[in-house]
Amino acid sequence: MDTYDTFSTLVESHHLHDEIANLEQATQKWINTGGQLTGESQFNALYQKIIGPDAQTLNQAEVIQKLTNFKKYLASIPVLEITMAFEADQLFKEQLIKKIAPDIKGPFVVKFNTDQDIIAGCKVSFKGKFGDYSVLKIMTDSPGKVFDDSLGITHD
Amino acid sequence: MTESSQLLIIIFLVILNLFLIFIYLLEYRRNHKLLGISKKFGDAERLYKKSQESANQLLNQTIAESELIIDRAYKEATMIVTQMRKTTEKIDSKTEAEMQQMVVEGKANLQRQIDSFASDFKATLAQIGQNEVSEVKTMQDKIYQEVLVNLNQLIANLKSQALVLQEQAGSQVQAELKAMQTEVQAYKKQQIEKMNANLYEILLQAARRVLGEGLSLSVQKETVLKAIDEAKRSGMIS
Repeated sequence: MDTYDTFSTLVESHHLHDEIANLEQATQKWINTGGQLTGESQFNALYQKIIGPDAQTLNQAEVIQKLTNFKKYLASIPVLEITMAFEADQLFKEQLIKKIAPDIKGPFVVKFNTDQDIIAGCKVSFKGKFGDYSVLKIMTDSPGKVFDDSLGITHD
Repeated sequence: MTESSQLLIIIFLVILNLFLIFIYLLEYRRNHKLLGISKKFGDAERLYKKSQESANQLLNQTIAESELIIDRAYKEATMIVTQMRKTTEKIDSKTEAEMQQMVVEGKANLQRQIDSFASDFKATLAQIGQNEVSEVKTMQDKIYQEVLVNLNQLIANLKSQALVLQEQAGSQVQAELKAMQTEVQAYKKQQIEKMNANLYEILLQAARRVLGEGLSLSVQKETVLKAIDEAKRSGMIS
């Protein structure tokens, strides 16, 4: 847990979950075969990162315990959802994460959504809080100012 | 006393008797004439009373009939107004005109009815007038004039009442029109608000499409970055 404390996106975290599942299967296979392992997944970089450099000294129960704890840790990481009107490229996503990361203490996962109805801007959801900073919200909150003035509509 | 003196006395007595007879005859004649006049006056009084009774009867009948006419006209007007209230949305200038016409026709009917009574009254008085007594004719004319004045007064009153009725009907129509205008205004306001809401929705959809497609990627990104700054300022991200 020391080495993995931040994840850029929810997709990455999902991938991590998948990798952990693969590692669990590989570990189980390793246990079942009595240490006669073939293939590369069981000792890939991720495995090394999660289990640590002393992987070879751990018994099977300790390895599984480490993997289980890491899954629980991943599930406890708060998710920051950002909804935008367009499909952001990876570069812009990283730009946003760098902009946000200094303000958040501890690890977090970012989930990007797309909703063209918001027109522009974004909606943000994090730790039970929700903020709408979209153009749609501005237009909805003050339709009279946006539309009536421009059309010359007056209210009795 | 001589024979000549006795003759003179006899002649004097005869002349005196003749004079007395003459006076008596004169008096008799005068009394007879007065009795005739008195009889004629009695007839005149009876005719006068008869004429007056007929006139009063006709007047009462006229008034009663007139009241019925007014009452009927008022009920008809009320019925129209009530019906108009039930179908307020259907009221138009035609309905209002029909109502006005009904009031006018009621007034005309009233006038015709009164004219008919006046004609009957004239006929009755004409029958009384067949009597050759001149005093009766004088009284007949007097009664006729009085009744005529009363009838004219009655007609004037009825006209006034008809006008009042017409004004009442007119004011009711105005009230209905005013209420209808209020309803129309409320409906208009509601429709405008509804249309405005629809218009807003349409414009919103158009704005979504036009703005969404029209904004460049750089503007979209800049807007998101500004939004993130706003979120950070508001304490959303911490």
